[in-house]
Amino acid sequence: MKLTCKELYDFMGDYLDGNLPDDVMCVMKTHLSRCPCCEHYLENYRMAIKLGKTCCKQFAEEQVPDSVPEPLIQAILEARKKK
Amino acid sequence: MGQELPTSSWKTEEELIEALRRQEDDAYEFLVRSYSGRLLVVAKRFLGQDQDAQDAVQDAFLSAFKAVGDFEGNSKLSTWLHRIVVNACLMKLRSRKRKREKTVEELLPHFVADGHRDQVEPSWAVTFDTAVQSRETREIVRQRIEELPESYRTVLLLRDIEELSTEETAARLNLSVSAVKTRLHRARQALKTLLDPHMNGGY
Repeated sequence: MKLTCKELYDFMGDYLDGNLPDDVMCVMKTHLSRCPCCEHYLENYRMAIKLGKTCCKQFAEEQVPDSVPEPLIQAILEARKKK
Repeated sequence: MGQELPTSSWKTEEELIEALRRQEDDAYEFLVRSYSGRLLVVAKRFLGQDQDAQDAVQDAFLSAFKAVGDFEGNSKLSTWLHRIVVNACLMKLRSRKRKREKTVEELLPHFVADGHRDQVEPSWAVTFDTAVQSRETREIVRQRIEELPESYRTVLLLRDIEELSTEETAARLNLSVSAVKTRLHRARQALKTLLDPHMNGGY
């Protein structure tokens, strides 16, 4: 069994989730050890995932605005009283 | 020990929740003023458009107001509200008119006929630790996520940010598990491509 670069890319998500059969995992690792391009892509792909999570969640507070539009606050409070 | 609330009449979250259950107006106002900013951040991430995001926040609070009697306090109030606003965003996405969505095809890697990549892939010049310590980079990452086409952005947000399982994401979006996996993979690939210029030190 041998994987092309394209096939390796297709399996990347399952590879990271550990959802591949042992023989496919083994072939993936062999390919990665011999193909700098795929190894770099996988590392960049993995980092993109981690960056997305970290920047959105761990640093969520820096995105919170100092104030919310007052009309929104009032609309919410008024809507509550109507129901 | 309850969650301490900043500068309010209620010393703990439990006391605030009890006041909400008693339908006290000032408790509701405090809740809205304390949490609407955070919920708006989440809503804008999913919905983009400011008015849609505000609508989702309003819908979320109204849902929370109705459900506060059932809130058992086994999670933080902020966590509970967060889940409610995510649900409100998904409802809004379902209901709003579906625009013709741009493809991510140009952001995916391409291959030559024999299955090899059509270009060399360098390892990113910027390390993870350096990236997350930079306010500018954090902002760029969030902006690039917002740039993803809606259906890809939604799957990425639910799976990678909200950390729902594939099965749960599929159920929420009325997609097959296979479709979620495919869309997530493409979303991640697209995000990586969008981050390439910055992470390769181009600017």
